[in-house]
Amino acid sequence: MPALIAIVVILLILIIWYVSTMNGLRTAQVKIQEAESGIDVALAKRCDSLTKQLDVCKGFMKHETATFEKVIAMRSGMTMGEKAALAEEAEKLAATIRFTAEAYPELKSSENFRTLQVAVADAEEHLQGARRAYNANVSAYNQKLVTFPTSMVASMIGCKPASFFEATATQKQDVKISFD
Amino acid sequence: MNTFETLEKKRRIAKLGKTVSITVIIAAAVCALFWSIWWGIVGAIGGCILLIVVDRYWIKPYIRAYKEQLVKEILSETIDDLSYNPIGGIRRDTIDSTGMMSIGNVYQVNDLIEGSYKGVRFSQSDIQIEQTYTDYRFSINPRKQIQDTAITYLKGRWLVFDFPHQFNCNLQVRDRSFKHAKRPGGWLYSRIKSEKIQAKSEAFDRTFEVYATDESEALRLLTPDFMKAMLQVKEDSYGEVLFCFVGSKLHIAVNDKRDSFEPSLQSSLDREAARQSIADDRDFITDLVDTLKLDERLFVGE
Repeated sequence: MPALIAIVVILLILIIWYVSTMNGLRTAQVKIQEAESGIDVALAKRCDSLTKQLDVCKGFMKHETATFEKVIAMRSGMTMGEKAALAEEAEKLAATIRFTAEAYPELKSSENFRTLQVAVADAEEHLQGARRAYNANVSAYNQKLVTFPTSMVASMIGCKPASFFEATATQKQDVKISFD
Repeated sequence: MNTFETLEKKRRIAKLGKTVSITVIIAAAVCALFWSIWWGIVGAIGGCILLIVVDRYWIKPYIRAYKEQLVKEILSETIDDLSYNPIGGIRRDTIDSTGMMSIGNVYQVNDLIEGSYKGVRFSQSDIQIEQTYTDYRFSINPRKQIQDTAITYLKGRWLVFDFPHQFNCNLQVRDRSFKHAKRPGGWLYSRIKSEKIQAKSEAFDRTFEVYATDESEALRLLTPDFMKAMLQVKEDSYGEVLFCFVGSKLHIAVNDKRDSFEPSLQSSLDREAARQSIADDRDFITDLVDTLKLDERLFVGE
């Protein structure tokens, strides 16, 4: 009889541990999704600000601004790697716009341009914060997947590692824009 | 007679008065022990009354004159739109409204400074927050049954920097040893939900705990440069520090156990030493703005 009670208690403890670990992993996944949506919002804000800035720069830039607008357009269903590559392209475009403004004082002193410059910088800061929050959550989740004994529960319920917000080498090479 | 000489004269009179009062009290105690307890009691009461009179008419006026003449002059050298009130302070409900600091039942403030530096508006005061309570214990000895205890939550400074736009989250960064700070929203049910955040910087996470209502907004504010600056502030402060971003304000509490801008009664008023001491207390405020770069776009906007 005491042996039976001990077995029941041990089983209960194992079940409680399993359920709480599983819930912890699911919660971590939801936090990653939440952080990812934060990146989406920040990235969309950045691309939107840059598109408006491109409108103001029409006539000053050598290439058609439509080309740049296509590069920084957000699409639905993008992977995290694609979003990271998009963020990099947006950063390159922002640098080009700043460079162009330096060459044309009338553009740099325009009220519209200055307002949009602040909006672009603000959006960049939001993106940095969202990226760090996302990567922190992914790091915490991925660590849980590889550490024992949580890894046992993770493999039982089919948890896969999440990817960080950073562009892969291939994606960096594929998308090239010439600003000459 | 110039300012320094006048102040030094007042200091000597105040010190003499205090010395005489304390001497009378000690003499009364000796008298009570070795000669006559009644004369001792009379002498002690007289000494205490003399001390109260000296404090009211000589010591406090000296401190007031020191602050109004010397401290105000040195503050105005660097701080714009200066308003200095030696007996005023940050209001209790200002601190309570942050929801991030235990308020206690004893609240003392002085040396309220309001002004701006590099366009950043701020207010600062010295502050002491305590919780006193009476402990009832079971004891045969009646004297040990009731014990009054005071816990000091904060003794130092509280600064409030006011910015033109709202922060998008409530963020608290507190020294790990700052025991009496409260988590935003508290530990139990609250409308404000905050979570503990890892900033992913080893030195920073070792020194501070971070709580915020929005993780990505918090990390937007806590850039690597800003975290480094906060660590520098901690190092320069000689006490625990607490940073609270609430609404459009940044509150900074420094628990350095000091009362700033106070003159010494005992030692002579040395011109250079006094100026340096006041300037050091003043420069703590301006150094905060410079170190944390509070005049930059992230805080003041365009």
